[in-house]
Amino acid sequence: MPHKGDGILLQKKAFAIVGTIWCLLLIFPQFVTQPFYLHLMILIFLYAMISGAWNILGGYAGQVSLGHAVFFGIGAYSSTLGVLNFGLSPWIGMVIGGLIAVLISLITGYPTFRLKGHYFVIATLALGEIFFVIFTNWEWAGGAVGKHLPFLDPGMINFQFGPKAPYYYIALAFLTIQLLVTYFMERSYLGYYFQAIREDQDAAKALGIEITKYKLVAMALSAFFVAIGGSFYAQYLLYIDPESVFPMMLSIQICLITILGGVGTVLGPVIGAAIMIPLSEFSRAWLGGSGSALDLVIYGLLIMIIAVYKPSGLMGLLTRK
Amino acid sequence: MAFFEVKNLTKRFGGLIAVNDVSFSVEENQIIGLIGPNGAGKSTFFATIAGYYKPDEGNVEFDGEEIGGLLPETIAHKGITRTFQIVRPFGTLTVLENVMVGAFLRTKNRKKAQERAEEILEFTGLAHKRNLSGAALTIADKKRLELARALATRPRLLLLDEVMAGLTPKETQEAVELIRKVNKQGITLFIVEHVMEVIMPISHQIFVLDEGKLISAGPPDVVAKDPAVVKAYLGERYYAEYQGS
Repeated sequence: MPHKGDGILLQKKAFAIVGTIWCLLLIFPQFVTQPFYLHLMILIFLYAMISGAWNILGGYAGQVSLGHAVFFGIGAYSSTLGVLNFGLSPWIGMVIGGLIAVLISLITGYPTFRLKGHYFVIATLALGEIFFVIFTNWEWAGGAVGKHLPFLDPGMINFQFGPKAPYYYIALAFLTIQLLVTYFMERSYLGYYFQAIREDQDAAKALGIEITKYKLVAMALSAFFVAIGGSFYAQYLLYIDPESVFPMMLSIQICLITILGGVGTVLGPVIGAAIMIPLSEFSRAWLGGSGSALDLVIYGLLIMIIAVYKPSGLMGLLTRK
Repeated sequence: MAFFEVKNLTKRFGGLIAVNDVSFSVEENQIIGLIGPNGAGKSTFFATIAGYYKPDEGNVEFDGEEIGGLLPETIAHKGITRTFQIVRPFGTLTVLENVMVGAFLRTKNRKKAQERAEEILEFTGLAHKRNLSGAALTIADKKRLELARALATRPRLLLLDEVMAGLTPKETQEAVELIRKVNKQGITLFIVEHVMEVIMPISHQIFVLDEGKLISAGPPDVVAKDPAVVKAYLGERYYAEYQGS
């Protein structure tokens, strides 16, 4: 059992390492200009951010959701439909999407948080499917065909760019904000309350913690950042359909990324994404479309190895927990 | 107006009446012992007044306010905190962090909560174990941690569910000293306890439950001689022999 007394020194070291890596990431596009690598980094940032958002609810508060694609899709559709049907800037659509995601997370969270353990997981799975079906059949939102965004003048206002570097920096900025929010959340009473709820709900109640209220806070924070990721995804690819933004696989993937990296840690999802995303992209590139499921096989293997040998995730190797 | 009053409290589970029409009142600043044979309804009674079960009948008043049927977290806000018979530390948090969770009830400021938690750890003798994980403690220390965490919420009434069960005589003695120290701070203690020779000398009042009913109440020496109590613990036949001797 490591004492947290030497934790302060370790923490300083960790800050130095993370700071250095962050600075290197800042200049990365100056040296590496191949689109494939920039694309890879953008995906890592995106998945690290939405997995980190999932981690607030699933990791810290211990409420495992397998329906988080709902919020991703809401973000993607809000910004896209905002541009197409209301002539809004994608940035405004993104914020609105975030708020709608928060609203939906609260409406769906209130009844489902009464369910415990497996039943909550099943409810979130069902929620994901419900949204998938709704959007597949909703003609105004594009139905099963989806929606294309028109090419507009490249630039910040339209959230469209020719080269990949601007997307790279925006994704990095989003990830950084999400990490800072998680870091400060972890250190505040919220972090303590979430973990208390995860460890023992009855004991948490005895100490005056309003369980449902704090689960909703975790859910709302989590939903907001996932929706932001969804809007980013839509602007990056300029095409969305229910298959690509509401898939159950996405919900499962962000959960697995977090488990691999380390649940309930600030940097766990980043480590998880940095391993999982290249794995899936390279296996896709090397093996072509035919081997498209191989990355999932490797995922499965990795998860099994982690579950057996290091249940605290790869972060556990670093913190020796 | 009593500090803490229970009026005709009844809790049923289907056909079983776990708590049967119990009434009594408690003065502030006392140590109250709640005893009774196994299955007498002590833990259910505790869980009911702490909000974990809704009473079927009757009410509970705390400081002139009706609290019967309120949620556990609301009751904690009002100044009543319970501990659990089976200890429940937050295993992934350190001892200090466990106590901070309690302290956050009265302040959302992290620094203040930490200061408060450090004081409590000093007071309960856990300061040197502050950085251990809650799961790594011995049973005696886990029970101490339960108490420390509850104290951190600044309760006015503390409900302790068998905090001394399973302790060695030396640990029990230390726990008794700690309970007296807590009481000296002006906190009223309501203690469920199995170990008679421990609870009798420290309590100002003893309540005895048997089959859900309150069968005796009063100062320890009076309750100990109450025929109803002797019968409940030793059975009718032994009571007759005891009378005869």
